[in-house]
Amino acid sequence: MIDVLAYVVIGISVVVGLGIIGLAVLDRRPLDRIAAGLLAAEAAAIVQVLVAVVQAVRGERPVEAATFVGYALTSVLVPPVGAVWALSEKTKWGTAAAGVSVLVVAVLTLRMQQVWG
Amino acid sequence: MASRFLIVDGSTRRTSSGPGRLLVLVYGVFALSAGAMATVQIATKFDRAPEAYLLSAFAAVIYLVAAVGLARSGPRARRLATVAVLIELVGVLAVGTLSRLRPAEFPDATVWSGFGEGYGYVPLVLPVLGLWWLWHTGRRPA
Repeated sequence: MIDVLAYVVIGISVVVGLGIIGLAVLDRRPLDRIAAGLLAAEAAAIVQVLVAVVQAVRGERPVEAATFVGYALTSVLVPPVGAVWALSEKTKWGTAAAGVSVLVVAVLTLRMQQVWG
Repeated sequence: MASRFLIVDGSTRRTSSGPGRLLVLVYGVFALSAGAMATVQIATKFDRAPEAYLLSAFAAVIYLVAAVGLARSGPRARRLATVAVLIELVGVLAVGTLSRLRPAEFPDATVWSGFGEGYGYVPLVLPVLGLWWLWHTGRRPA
């Protein structure tokens, strides 16, 4: 993994995730802004996984490959699927859950860095 | 007490609303990551630690059943979720204890090894939250 890229992904997902949770606390639900944040975090997660795939093809493999694949797959699936599930409830809990689905990307990226070796 | 988990009429609160939305999300994340991990492990290096990989797969199924049970409404879904969360609690406590007593028998970590220490102890906290939520929503509305 490229450390700088991982830190960018962690940074984006922490800012977006906490931002959405902040909106939930204020009981606000601006869907266009939430969607923009979700897209940014999802794009970052996809770029990171694609770069890891390119590295793997070139022969750089993670030490714990199975764990890495599990986390990588989860990191790109959780924001879209999780956010749709979360935002289908129009309460602050639904908004908060969408924020958590973005924070999951940060946690998974940290774990991916650990298992890469 | 026990009846709160097993209420058979439709007068209970939905387990998928409010904080339940968040809980189902976290269960889904665990089902997905543990499931994907176990699938790759079983497909690529099953012989190395078959017990650990089967345990990971079992944990993934339990997380999935809990997520589905909590996401759906009705007494059957509530029972399903309660059973899954109880198995999850027993699983994390048993595997956590065993992995501390006999670390050599757990060469490859599972979600429940060391009481879920590799996952910020979320696997230990999650079933407690799940049981509390099922109990809380099992009350009849006033």
